[in-house]
Amino acid sequence: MTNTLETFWRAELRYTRRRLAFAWWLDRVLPAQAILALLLALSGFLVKGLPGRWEIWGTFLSWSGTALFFLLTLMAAWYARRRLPGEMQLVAHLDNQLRLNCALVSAWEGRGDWPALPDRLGEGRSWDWRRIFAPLLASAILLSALAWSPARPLPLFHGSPPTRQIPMAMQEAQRLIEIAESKPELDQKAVAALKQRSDEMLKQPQDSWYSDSFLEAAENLRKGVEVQLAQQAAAAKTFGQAIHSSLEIAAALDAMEGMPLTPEAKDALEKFRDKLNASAKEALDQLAASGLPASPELLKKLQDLALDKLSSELSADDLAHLKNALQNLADLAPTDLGVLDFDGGDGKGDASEWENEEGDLLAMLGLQKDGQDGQGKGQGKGEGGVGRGPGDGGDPLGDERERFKANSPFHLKGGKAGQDPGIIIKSSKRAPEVDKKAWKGQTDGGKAVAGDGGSDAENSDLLPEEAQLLKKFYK
Amino acid sequence: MNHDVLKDHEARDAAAKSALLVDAMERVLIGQRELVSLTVCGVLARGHILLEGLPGLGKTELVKGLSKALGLSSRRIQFTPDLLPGDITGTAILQEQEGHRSMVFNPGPIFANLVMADEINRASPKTQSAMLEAMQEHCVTSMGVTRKLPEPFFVLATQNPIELEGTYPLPEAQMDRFLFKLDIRQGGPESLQRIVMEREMGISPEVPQVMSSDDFVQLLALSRRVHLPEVLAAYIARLVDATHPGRSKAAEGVRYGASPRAALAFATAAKARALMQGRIHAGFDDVKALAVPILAHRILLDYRARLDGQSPRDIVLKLLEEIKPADISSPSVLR
Repeated sequence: MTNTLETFWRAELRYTRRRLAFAWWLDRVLPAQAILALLLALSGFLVKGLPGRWEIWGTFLSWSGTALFFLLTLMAAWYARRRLPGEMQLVAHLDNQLRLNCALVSAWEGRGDWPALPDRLGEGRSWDWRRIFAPLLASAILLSALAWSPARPLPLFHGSPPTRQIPMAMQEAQRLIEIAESKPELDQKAVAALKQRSDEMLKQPQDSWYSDSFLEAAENLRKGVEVQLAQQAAAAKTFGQAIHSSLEIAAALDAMEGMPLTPEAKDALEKFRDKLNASAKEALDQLAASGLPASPELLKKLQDLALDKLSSELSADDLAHLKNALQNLADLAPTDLGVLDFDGGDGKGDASEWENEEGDLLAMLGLQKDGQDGQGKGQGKGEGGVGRGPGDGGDPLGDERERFKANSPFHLKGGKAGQDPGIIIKSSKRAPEVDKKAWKGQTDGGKAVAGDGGSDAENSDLLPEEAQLLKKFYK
Repeated sequence: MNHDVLKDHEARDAAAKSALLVDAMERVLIGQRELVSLTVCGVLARGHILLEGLPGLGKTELVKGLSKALGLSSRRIQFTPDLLPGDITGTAILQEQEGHRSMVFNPGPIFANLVMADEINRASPKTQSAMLEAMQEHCVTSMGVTRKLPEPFFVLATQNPIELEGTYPLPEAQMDRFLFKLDIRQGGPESLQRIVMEREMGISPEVPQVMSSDDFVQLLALSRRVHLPEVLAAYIARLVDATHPGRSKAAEGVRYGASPRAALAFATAAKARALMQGRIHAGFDDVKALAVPILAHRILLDYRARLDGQSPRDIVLKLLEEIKPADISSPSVLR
């Protein structure tokens, strides 16, 4: 009997221990999970009330809530283990609970018999179901309400997130590259390489677009493209002016009709041609060696061009195409390079030197011809002389005008590429309106023109001072 | 400490004798069985008892009856303001013997097994202090000579809670020496009816001697052999410790708590009570039942608690609510 009682009480003690541990665990975990459910529900309702946020935060709340719940259970288990009393305390607890008045304690200490089975074994040890289920029910209601409440969708935002504005330097570089792409006179492979470089830079994360390194790289790209375009424009202009000067000289020489040149004129002519060739070669080198070189076709044409044999080697159409190509390249020039003009220098750089020399040379050749005019025959309708006043006399191109289409207009372009000031300078657009009836002819070598004159007077060649003044005016 | 295990039959015999004693004493204090039981318990615990109650409730008869029932010598000392210490302990008087004179000690009334100090608070503190050594050491010192008191020695003192003019409240040190302080209250109408029917004015009730003094001493020895479990000692310790200010919520209005002597009193009295009930071990119920008689007179309240109308008894009852026998608080999910 004693053994049976002892076995019973020892089993009862183990049961009480487990029960107490579980009760302590419940005692802590139930309120904690109720608070957690309340916090989750409040957070969930808040997030659901914000448009489109539930899609982002819903999963996070679910997972974090689950993780926190498991963390709470572990903490409650740790707490319950800490609260679990020692064996003797547990015996005393059971003894007191069953009102055994230390009979069980004494028996446990070996100082008495094991107490008989008490009548009210379950007293003080039954579960308080209300305390257990109330927090669980509250949590379930809160979380169910959260699950069933509708979330507000995002009304506007469904696409990709807004992009950041491309830095100004990059925008400018892209614009310049687009201009280069529109010019077939440039090597499109080089343009494509620049375009690829620009695209690769923009593939970097948008957050880095305004970093120092990116801005510096963009500025370098912009500046590089701009400088290269300007250099190509300047080179094209130089080459175009060389062509023009060559044509002018050739026309002047043709006008002399085989008249021998004075030694001074011959010497000046040779020097001028050397300068022209040097400038053309330098421009050609620039066009070829730049980071944005001219197209291979254009380069080949320019390389094959002999400036002193233009009139004989090129047809009028070819020359016109060449001029057009060079003009297109010159249009790339930025503002600060000044006006580009095949017909006259802009007073800048090397070109102006030989342009002035060209004027001097042409003047020298003209004077030589004027001195010989009494023996010769006038040109065209004006019968010689400087082309001033009525008649076509003094046309530097003479009969070659039609062939070279010298009357075709040359557009003065604005400094900035793509801008057209809309002003046309022409060497001769139409026949001058003169008083043909009153024309009495003129004596060879004379400069006075008889008659009433027309409403218009034309001078096909301006004095260097006049040309400068005119350019300044148009600037 | 006696570690001999008390046998069940010994405990049962002791319980039977105790019951006889209680029954006999109840003839004196009709309808006051609990008070009688506590008195017997205190005596079995070798403790001194302070009885407090109004006149005419049978305090003196209780002491007389106890001495008769136990076959012990008893003396009654009526404390008055002019009582001197020598009146209690005894004095040496000059006597002529065989032709020469010498000082002979004439023992005072304290030389008895059971001393009743009636209205002890009416004597002067000097006289009250004469009781201190006797109660604690069971001996008196007079003229430089220490004399042992007869064993067993008990003091059952009474004091009147009214008519406090001209009284000297017992000092704390002396209060602490009383194992119990018992309040004697008026019984109900049924008790009064029994008193009227069974008692006659001027005639003391007949109290039989239920045991010899040797049997009583044997009972005292048995009481010491009752087992005091360790958890019970821990409960007593926590309970006594909790009487001090700041050690428990219940002790908020306490100025001074109980001394370690109170813990010893608990242990001894719990054993005695267990023996009276035939158990070989003391239990939680013993401690709970004895808490008020043991602790109430050892707790000194501060003025705020007194103004609030609290009594030491209230504090002790709160302590019993607060301090659980097992140092385990039950989870709220269990009923």
